This record gives sequence, structure tokens and C-alpha cells, in this order.
Amino acid sequence: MFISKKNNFFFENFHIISCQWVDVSGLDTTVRPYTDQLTSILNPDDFLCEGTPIADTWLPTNFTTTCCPGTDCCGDTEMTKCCGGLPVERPACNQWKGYNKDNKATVMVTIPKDGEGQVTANCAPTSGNWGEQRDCGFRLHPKGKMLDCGNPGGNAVLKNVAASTFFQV
Amino acid sequence: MIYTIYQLNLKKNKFCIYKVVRVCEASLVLDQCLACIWNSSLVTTTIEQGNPQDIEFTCTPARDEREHGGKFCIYVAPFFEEMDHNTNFVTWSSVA
Repeated sequence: MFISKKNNFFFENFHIISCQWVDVSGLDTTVRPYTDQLTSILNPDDFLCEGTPIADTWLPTNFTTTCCPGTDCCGDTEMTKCCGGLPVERPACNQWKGYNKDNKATVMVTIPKDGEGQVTANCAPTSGNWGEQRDCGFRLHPKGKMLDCGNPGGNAVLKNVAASTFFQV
Repeated sequence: MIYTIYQLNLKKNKFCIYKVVRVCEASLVLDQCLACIWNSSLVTTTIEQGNPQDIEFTCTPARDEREHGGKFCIYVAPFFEEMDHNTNFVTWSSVA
């Protein structure tokens, strides 16, 4: 495994950058967790200058602008007209030697079994993971899967919820 | 290792009388429960042994034409992480 500072930053902040997600719904996690490599490549098209910028100089790229509907997740903009097809340029740059050697990183990622996740993982082995607002240490109740509450968006009541220290059959 | 009296009491009594019950949405498309954080749970509440209670929550709303809501899942934890994690220690009678 190799993670540079740059890529470490990327992985750590993956969740707070909008539209950065990986669709894993096609992976079969019904029986067991799924583990595989997750690879990221930063700045693959050199739009960020990792070196010394060359002032007032722009270089053509093979990219063109896409249509901007102004509504979808990645297209939030005040523009209302279609702006697709216009050329995109990038700033010219005297790149540092070996600037991209630490731009690729791979980490092993485990997709938990269905119904599990961060919330069902054990809490860190330190005191203080107490209370109902913590997001770790939960378990999916074996009788609490895919229950029907009848009225989507309406009120529902789980009746007579009890805690005991013994099994009830 | 030095324990406080409170921590010693916790270690002696592994069966915590307080349990946390979290109700999460379920996905019809994925046909599975969505392990939810506190902020996105339908409700999270603490129950006490010997004091059964009703837990009110908003039934999973419709998200789109495929996710039309109505399904939920129940997650359980001891109030104190160090305590016993047996989910069968929490029961309920019905959903209304």
C-alpha cells in the first residue's frame, strides 16, 4: 500500500467533496463483506499546476464543456443556457521533476455486509463511546430487518419496547 | 491499570440496564437495511430495563417511484459500549 500526503488528503476528505462517490451497489455483500482495492489518481490531466505557473499562457485540451442544466448534482450553476461543446484550456506550467510520482494511491477497502457499516463496527477501544448519539457499536437486531411501518412519511409506533437481561422466546 | 469505582461497577455488571434503540430506513431497491448514523435515524432512544415504552417515529418516507418507503430496521446497542452486546435483550410487541 502506498499513500502519499496528497492522496492521504484525498482519501480523508473524499466524503466532504461533493459528487465524489463510488457506486458499490452492484457488489454482492449479501453473505459476506467484499474487499478490493480502491485506487485514486490525482490531477490526471494536469489541470492543477504542480510546479511553476507560466503567466498568461493557456494550453488547449481535449476537453469540452458539458451542458449545464443548472439542476443536477454536479451541474449547479446560475447559467440557464446550454453551454456544451466549448473548448477547455488549462494553465501552462513548468512542472517539477517527478511531480506526479505521488499522485496515484491504492488502499484496500472493505464494503461491509448488507445492513452493516460504520455504525455496526466496534467503537474505538477507548472509553467515552457512550450514549445514544454515538455512531458505532450498534448491532442489527435479528428480528428487526425490513419491518413494515405501513404509512410512508406518517407516524409509526414501536410498541412496548423492553430491555431485559435474558432471552424472551 | 487503575479503575475508578464507576468503571469497576461497569465491569462487574456486564448486563447494562440501559439499551439504545435506533430505527433506520430500509431500502426497497437494495432490499436491505441502511445502518444509519444518529443524525439520519428515524429515531434513536434509550430504554431502561423494567420500564417498557412505546417508541414513536416517522415511517420511512418515499424517496422516488422505486423507493416508496414504508420499511425500516432496528439497531440495538448497550448504552455503554463496554457492556454486553446481545441484541436479543431488546424486544417489542408490535408495530402500529
